[in-house]
Amino acid sequence: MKKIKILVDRIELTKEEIAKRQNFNEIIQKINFSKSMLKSPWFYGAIGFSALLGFIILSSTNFVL
Amino acid sequence: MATNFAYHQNALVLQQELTLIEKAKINPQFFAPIYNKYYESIFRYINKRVDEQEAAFDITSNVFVKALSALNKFEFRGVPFSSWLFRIAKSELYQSFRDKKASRTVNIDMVTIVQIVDEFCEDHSEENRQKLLKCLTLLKENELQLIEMRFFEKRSFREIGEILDLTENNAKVKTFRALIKLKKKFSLQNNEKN
Repeated sequence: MKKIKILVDRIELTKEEIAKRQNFNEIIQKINFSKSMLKSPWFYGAIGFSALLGFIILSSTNFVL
Repeated sequence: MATNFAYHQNALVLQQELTLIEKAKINPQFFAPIYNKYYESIFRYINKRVDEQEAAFDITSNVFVKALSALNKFEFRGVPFSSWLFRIAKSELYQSFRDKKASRTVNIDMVTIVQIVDEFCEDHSEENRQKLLKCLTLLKENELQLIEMRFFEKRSFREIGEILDLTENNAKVKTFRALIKLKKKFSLQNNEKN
């Protein structure tokens, strides 16, 4: 990273404009979603299925070195 | 130099903050007052370093998601909780620069530019101001962020130290060195011209 862009006297958002975008419930929802993903059997099922599929494809492929 | 009073807090406020954090480790809803207290300062820190405001709001949201998810790893070290949030913000910013290949933005004000040019030479002409802007882009990232925090964001050395995980004295020394380096680059540009 060495692309630097300099902005001079950019207009800052006001306190009120920033406050309008505050949404604590959204943060809680994102955390609950990632927690529920980790607890879901579908999540592990999908990983397991992909791993099994990968193993079958690899084992059925003839590698010529 | 102005002091950020929202950042410097007394022991009682720090203790109240710690109590909330301990409660939030069990029930995340207790994190709401901390979120409301620091949202604006974290957003402003990020917004000064990215070009697009929407991206700044997204990164700010990610900072609080990360902080709340990793709250159990937080250890109180006698400094405001915001220093931990700023460190997460810094890491999220760099991640965003890598992912989006976006350019690092530095937001500066002309008044401070003129003040710095005045420190370096007596002539704060447009040419010298432009020269200083160019020199800022030639600094290393760690030097640039020290100059940015001290001169353009008016942070105290104590606050800079806590955000960058340095002692107050070390932050002072490193900022001074970065300023000397900036001055050298500025003089070099003058010599090249002559």
